Amino acid sequence: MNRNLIVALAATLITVFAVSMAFAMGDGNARKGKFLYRKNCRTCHNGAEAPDLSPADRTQAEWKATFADTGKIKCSGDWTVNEKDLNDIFTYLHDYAKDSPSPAKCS
Amino acid sequence: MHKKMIAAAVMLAFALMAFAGPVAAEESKTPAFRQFHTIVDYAFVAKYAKMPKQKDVMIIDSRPYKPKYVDGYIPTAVSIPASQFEKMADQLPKEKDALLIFYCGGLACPLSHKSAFMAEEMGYTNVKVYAEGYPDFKKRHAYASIGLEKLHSMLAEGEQYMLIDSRPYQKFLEGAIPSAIGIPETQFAAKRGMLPADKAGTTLVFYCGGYKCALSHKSAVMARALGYKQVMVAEAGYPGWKEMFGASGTAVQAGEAEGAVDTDWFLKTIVENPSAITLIDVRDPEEFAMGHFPSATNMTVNMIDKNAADIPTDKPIVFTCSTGARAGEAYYLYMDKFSDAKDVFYLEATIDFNEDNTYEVHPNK
Ligand code: HEC
Repeated sequence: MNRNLIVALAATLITVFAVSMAFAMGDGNARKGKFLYRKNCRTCHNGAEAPDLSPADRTQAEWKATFADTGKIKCSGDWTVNEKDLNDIFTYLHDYAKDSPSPAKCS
Repeated sequence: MHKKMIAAAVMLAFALMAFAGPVAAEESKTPAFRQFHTIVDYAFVAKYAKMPKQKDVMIIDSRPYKPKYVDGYIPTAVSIPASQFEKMADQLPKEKDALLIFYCGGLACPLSHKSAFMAEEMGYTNVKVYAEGYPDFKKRHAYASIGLEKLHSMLAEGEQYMLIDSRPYQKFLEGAIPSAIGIPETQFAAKRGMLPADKAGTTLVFYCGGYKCALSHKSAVMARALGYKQVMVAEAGYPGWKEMFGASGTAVQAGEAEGAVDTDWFLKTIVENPSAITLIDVRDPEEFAMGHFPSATNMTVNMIDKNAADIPTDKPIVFTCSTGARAGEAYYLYMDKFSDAKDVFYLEATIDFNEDNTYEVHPNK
């Protein structure tokens, strides 16, 4: 029991630490990012538990600003993604932003 | 007195013979086993080690099947390991006057001699041993043959090789060994530019329609003439592969991006051989209704998320949408659910569909 708690705590700390660290964003895999977003984010961001969140909700500059310090994104404590996956997610959100050449439509 | 002189002369003659013997005798050093009486050389064997196989001739590899035979053998040879000679003797020709040529791993190897004696005991009258065996043959001949097990492990370990299907192109498109490219034997000269530049370092493996097919053998000889140093034939060919490793034989040509299918290959396949792949269009039903690839099935990413296991896996799977975005998502979703899935791809391209199911495909970027 105790051990599980410690492991969970450590995992949380590591995650928080990892995501609040600034990392080189961009140039990820937007295709994979779209899937990773579905898997890790849309579970909450479905309009029920958390607001619907589509790439086209923001401009590319806004996405950059949002991800400049992921520690400030309120739900980032709940994330279980690693840095590489998060970069793919960011790339997806950014590449399909509302002012991108191909803004995301619905899904 | 005379007797002594004769004895001396005989001894001298023997000594001379020993010295005058072939230089190679250095290696052989009177092997410690009984030599078969009729020994043949490379030139003799090479006459028979080619396609089409001659009737009433059998070349027999007496070495263990794995790893020796599988790793490389004399073209057209049959594997009958000496240790299993009695058990497998029924594979020998029925006619007792058929020519049997036994070989194994060279002058120090007793297996072919042992087997040859046994064949003679069975009543075979035309038995020979190629004593210098496989090492000598490999050095001298244009190419050697390999077993599919060897090809399979080369494939699994990502070795440096190029696999070439020598059958007519249509056959290749209908189903081929994974990783193969199609260079029909009849077009070998025209398409030789597809062969790798590195003639010494890359192994070329040719195959065609099985043991009776000569196309791969012919292509191997042509490749050797072009200067390729390591040339092999997988004699069991596509029929053997299908039997041993399953029929998921369509070799999908991969595109540039991770998981992407080569666009040109895809477009050609859906026209010429649509049943070779399972094509899944992941757009919404309303979009699908407005036009789609004729052979496509509609299944949205949400549906795949729920029912991925319903997608048949007997053929390569290709996901498509209108831009590559949702198809790519479907690809990663599928791979996340079945991480050991092979032959799953998506189309990285922008497609305009018309209501009559015609389409224009534009490569992305
Ligand atoms: C456990 C549920 C949950 C998960 C999983 C989740 N989120 Fe959130 N997220 C929320 C909630 C709830 C909010 C709204 C918080 C508020 O505004 O009070 C939110 C807000 C956000 C915001 C807006 C924050 C801002 O300040 O603008 C962004 C961006 C965001 N999430 C991104 C993500 C990404 C990216 C992922 C996947 C890696 C993700 N979320 C996964 C629950 C979640």
